[in-house]
Amino acid sequence: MANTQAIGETAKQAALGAIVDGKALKAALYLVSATTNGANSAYTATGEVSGTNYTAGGVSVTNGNTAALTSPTAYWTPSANIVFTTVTLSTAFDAVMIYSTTDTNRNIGVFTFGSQTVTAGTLTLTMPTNNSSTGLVRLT
Amino acid sequence: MINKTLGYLKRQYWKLFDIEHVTTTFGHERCDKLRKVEGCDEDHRAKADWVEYYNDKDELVHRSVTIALKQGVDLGGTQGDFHG
Repeated sequence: MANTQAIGETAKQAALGAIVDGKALKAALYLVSATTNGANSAYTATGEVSGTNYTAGGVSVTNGNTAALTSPTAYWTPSANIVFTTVTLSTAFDAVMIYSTTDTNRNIGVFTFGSQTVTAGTLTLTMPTNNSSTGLVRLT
Repeated sequence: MINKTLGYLKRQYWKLFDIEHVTTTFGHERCDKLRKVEGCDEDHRAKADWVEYYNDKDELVHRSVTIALKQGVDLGGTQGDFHG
């Protein structure tokens, strides 16, 4: 039996937990023309969508899950869909940033999808299954 | 005020008789008065199901989208070693 170099799995879970567990989170949408990515340390209004019934900063994210661990992956996913109700977003958007208002708007992640618009309608972002292979944020 | 009340009464009538309606750029409208178009876009990141309604002037008056994020991001922890 040889020794195996590895980062401690519970350390990964703790690291992920430190940024999501019990935090107040929000989700903001970004235009196709924006350049929002992991280099954004915090929420930014630059490139954010605007439109009827959309408030700058976006909507609250239901965060009933805590970082979980299925060896060797730590993972986390919001516990409910993210919904923007009766909005009009005429300029195409293709990304959502989830950020922590608890931690001075720290950027948790930017997630992209195909370009969309919404007209007097509802945008629903449904979450993937919260497990080690599809969870929204995973530390492998 | 009158328009608001009329709108409310209209929606209550639709609700009572189970008439499907939708929010539009011109307020609530009965679905059967509009042309409905549905579609789906999909790539490796997400699947987007959308529904659009057009009025008799062929103007888009409603578009809703449900985006199913397929999987999140894998941060892939990288470990150093003593050899630099």
